[in-house]
Amino acid sequence: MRTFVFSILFALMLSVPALADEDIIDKTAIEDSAPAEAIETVGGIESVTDTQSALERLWSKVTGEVSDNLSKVLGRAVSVVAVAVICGLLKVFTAENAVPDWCDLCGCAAISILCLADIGSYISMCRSALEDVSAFSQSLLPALCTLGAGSGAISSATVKYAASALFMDMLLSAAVKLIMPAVLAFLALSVAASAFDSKRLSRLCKLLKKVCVLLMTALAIGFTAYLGISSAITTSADALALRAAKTAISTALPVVGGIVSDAASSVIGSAELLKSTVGVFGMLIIAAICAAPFVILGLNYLAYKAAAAGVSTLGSDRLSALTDSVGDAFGMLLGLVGCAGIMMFISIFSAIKAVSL
Amino acid sequence: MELIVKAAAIALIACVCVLIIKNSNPGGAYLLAVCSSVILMLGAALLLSEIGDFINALISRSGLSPAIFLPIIKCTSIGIIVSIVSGLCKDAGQSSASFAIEYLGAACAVYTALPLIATMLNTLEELL
Repeated sequence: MRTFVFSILFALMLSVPALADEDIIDKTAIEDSAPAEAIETVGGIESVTDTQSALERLWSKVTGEVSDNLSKVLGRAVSVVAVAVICGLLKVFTAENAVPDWCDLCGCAAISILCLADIGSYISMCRSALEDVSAFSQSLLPALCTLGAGSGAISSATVKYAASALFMDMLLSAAVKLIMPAVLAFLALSVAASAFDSKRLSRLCKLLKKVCVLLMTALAIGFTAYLGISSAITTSADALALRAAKTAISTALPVVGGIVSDAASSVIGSAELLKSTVGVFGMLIIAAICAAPFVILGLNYLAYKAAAAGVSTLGSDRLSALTDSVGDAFGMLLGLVGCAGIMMFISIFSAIKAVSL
Repeated sequence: MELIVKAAAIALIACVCVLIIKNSNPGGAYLLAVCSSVILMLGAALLLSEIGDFINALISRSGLSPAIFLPIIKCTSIGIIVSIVSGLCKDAGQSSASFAIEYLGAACAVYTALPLIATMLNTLEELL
């Protein structure tokens, strides 16, 4: 009778539900750190399961940006060619003249006013995108690190988080303090070089451009190399440690060792699932943040390159060089946004694909 | 096509006439040269007005203020006038007057282009 009563009591005590901890990360904080516009496009973390509709909304956003900006950008490119035509026509009357030929100077002034009047807004847009990516990464990367550790990749998650945070910070600092001012200096030197036909200033422009591109390339390659090497080392160690722990549990605990080991695997699997969900959400948000600046800067880059090709057929090398330089400046800004986006994609993908079982 | 043929004929006839009367009446020959130059420039003015309309249309298409192109149009006009007058001075054997008008034309062109250079420097300042 006593045995029966104690059995009933113990059975009642063991009927308390054993729930895995659902709140190991704060999903609300991750969603709040993303820009509202990006959340509107992609949806929340819970809606990531319907990836197709999120991708469709993203695509329609991209096509919307293209259609909104295409006519304005093309109109400006046509205006640049019109300026070159005007200068070409006036040059006919100033050939072999005692009076100095100011046609190219006039053309450079006109193109500068056309193309550079709102360059500040493009640079602000680029800076804003980088800041949004950086702010979002400060919530996303720790969450992915926590989930990675929860899924067994303790060392690799920490290393990846440290590398990603460090390089994103370096990219943002380099962008704000070096690259963006260098782009403005490049534009100013290009205008002066074309207006006053100075070969020395042209060489200085080329040097500035090479420095900017080199800096971005070095950051991207350095980040990828560091992440790749550190992941290769730590991922194997984590996998080995996890297997050893599972074996130890199975053999150390008699009878229930296998059950406990399998239960632990289930919890780790749940953490992996959540990590993949959060990771996909992160990638979609990064794509949503970078989509608009990428499209706008890309359209400007292509339009000015096409305009430069058109102007060169009219025989004005200086105007063509200036238009080409404006295109290069947009290319550098495009590279900067692309660099930040790609680095975040690599970080997230690396965190999702961390081998743990 | 007709205009250039007529202009060529006028120019050749004027040259022949100048050569014929040059020895007996140098002043008259010079006046004839000046008149033929003026007539030819009046013919060019007809074409220049159509070119000017086209340039105005391009300027409005570019969306820029015509004030940006005004200095260069003035410089071009100065260049044309200086070239013709300089040539006429050389025809009259007055090389010093020719040089002086060229020098004055260059100074006028620089003076006219000053607002343009100021605009350029303002743009560079805003960038930096």
